[in-house]
Amino acid sequence: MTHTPHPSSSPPSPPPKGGLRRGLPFFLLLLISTLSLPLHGQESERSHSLLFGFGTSNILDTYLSPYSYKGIEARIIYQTERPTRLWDSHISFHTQTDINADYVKNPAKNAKDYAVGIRFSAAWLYNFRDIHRWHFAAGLAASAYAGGIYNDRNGNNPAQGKLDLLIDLTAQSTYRFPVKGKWWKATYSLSIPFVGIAFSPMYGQSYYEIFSLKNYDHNVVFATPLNTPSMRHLLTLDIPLGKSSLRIGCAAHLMQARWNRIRYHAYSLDIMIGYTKHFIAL
Amino acid sequence: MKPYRSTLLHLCTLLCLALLLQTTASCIAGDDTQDTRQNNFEALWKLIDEHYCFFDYKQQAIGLDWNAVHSKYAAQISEEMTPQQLFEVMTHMLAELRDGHVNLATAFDYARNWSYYENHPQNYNDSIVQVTYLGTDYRITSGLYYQILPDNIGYIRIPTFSVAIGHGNVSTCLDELSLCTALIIDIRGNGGGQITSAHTLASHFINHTTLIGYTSHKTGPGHSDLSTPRPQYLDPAADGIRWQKPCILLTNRQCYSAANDFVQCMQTSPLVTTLGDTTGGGSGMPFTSELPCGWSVRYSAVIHYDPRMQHTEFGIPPDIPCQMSGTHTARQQDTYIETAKEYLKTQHHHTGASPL
Repeated sequence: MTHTPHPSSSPPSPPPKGGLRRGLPFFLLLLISTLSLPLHGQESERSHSLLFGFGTSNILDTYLSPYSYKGIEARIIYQTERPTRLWDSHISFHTQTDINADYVKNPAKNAKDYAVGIRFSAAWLYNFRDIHRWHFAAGLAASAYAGGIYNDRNGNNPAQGKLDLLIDLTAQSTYRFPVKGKWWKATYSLSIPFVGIAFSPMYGQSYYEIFSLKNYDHNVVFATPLNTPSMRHLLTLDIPLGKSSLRIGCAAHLMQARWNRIRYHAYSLDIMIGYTKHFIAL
Repeated sequence: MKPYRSTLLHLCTLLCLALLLQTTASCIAGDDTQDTRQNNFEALWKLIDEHYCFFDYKQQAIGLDWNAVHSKYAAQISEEMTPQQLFEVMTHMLAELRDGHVNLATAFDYARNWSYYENHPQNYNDSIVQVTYLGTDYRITSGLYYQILPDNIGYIRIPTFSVAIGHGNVSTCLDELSLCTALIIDIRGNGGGQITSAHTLASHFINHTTLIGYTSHKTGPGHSDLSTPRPQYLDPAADGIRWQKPCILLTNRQCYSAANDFVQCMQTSPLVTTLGDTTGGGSGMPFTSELPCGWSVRYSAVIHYDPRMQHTEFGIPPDIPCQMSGTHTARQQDTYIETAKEYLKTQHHHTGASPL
């Protein structure tokens, strides 16, 4: 999830030079730096943003093949966020709709997988007190994913459905810095699935058994960090353009699962570009 | 800050850090390996070892020892082999499974074990069936080729279940044959296809929900990691025509996979008598996988048992065994069809059943 809190009171002071150079190294320490942060009131700005991305993808699903398929991915991310009155207005509400479409090939380049999916998540983040130009928030997100992978040459196991309902731990940090009199904003967010449920066929179970014969066999699995060690990263930079901002960034998804002895991973790295619009909350 | 908030936030942050560390340290990887002769051989052996569903049964039935198979063929692998030579060794290794559902597909050849019918009489002559019985004015509806024989016996020829067969197709066919005294269904040479087509057709020959077998799938990589067999029922066709007269089902060794399953279903009907040769079998549902070099591998992954929980992997014997006769062939007649007609006449004579 991205975050747009903006100082709600006075406009920022004139930008010192070299802010970008000084700020970037701190992104690596964002999560650790949330420790022991003092509380702070929340800004009253709401926003939405739309990002389009393109990048590389690496998909493994041992139900379809024991080997990793590599290729390209297109991704669309739509985000909204708004303040709430929860916990003395420290809580902000964020939603994200994330659509991916992948085209990947096996190592021998003679078989293809097509993967599509959509994840919707709703997050409630606690906003900490700003430190200099840093803003930190962390909280929980409920997310749901629906999608699938199709292999173009498998017979009775041609596809794998993907469904999950997860509670994610989410952390987010924002750094503002001035460039030529405008305030640029860099945002990094991280989501880690913590607990949830997911669909998976059994190791050698066919979809014919599940859907035609109704023979279920542990097809709803309990997801934990031990069997679903996954992360979703999003790093963005907002460049003010009139009343909106140009947003560029990078999305890195490291989704993994080991359910019913079927191994799965979907690693992707996408360059994202889009816009953000800000509104003043009433 | 209120103390409890601070404590809560500290705990949450520590939890995040622990999760981050766990997630970062855990990598779920595939079996990606270099495309070498040795690696491809080992990948094939391991793939079958961990996913093939009939090891326990075939150890009992034919003495299959997959570890011994590895020892036997691994010694033949070297990096200097051509792809064709590697393919040949792999083909021989897979043939040890004696399973027509196990294949290795490459750009230059297709490994198979069709000994289930290649070592047996064909018991079918397509030109005789075409000329003497079907003629040229037979009808076709989605994979069902049907004709009324001169004895007022309906004849349906089904060469494959690869075509999707719907209830409407079956009802149309049975409606056309409804004035016949009996029915002969000929599935000789039918190597299978869609199991749903087989079940759709069979549902027109039962009047009650019927136990047609059990299914069991692999639950892990061990040879005995199989799920508890679950019963499989077939409901009678809800719409359309259900056949209520005698029916003879003609089978030969080439009846395999979905056709084998069709025979299994039809044998549960008191109206149906099977005639011919033992079917080819193939009671495993095949899955597909691959090797590092990209060759595609097919193997049996899900077991289908018959209603008595017996394997039909090596075929289903007929109620009335029959072999093609040279005498009939010389007269351009099909022994199976002639025997079936005689049997139906005898049954009609004994039971005195109304022809309609």
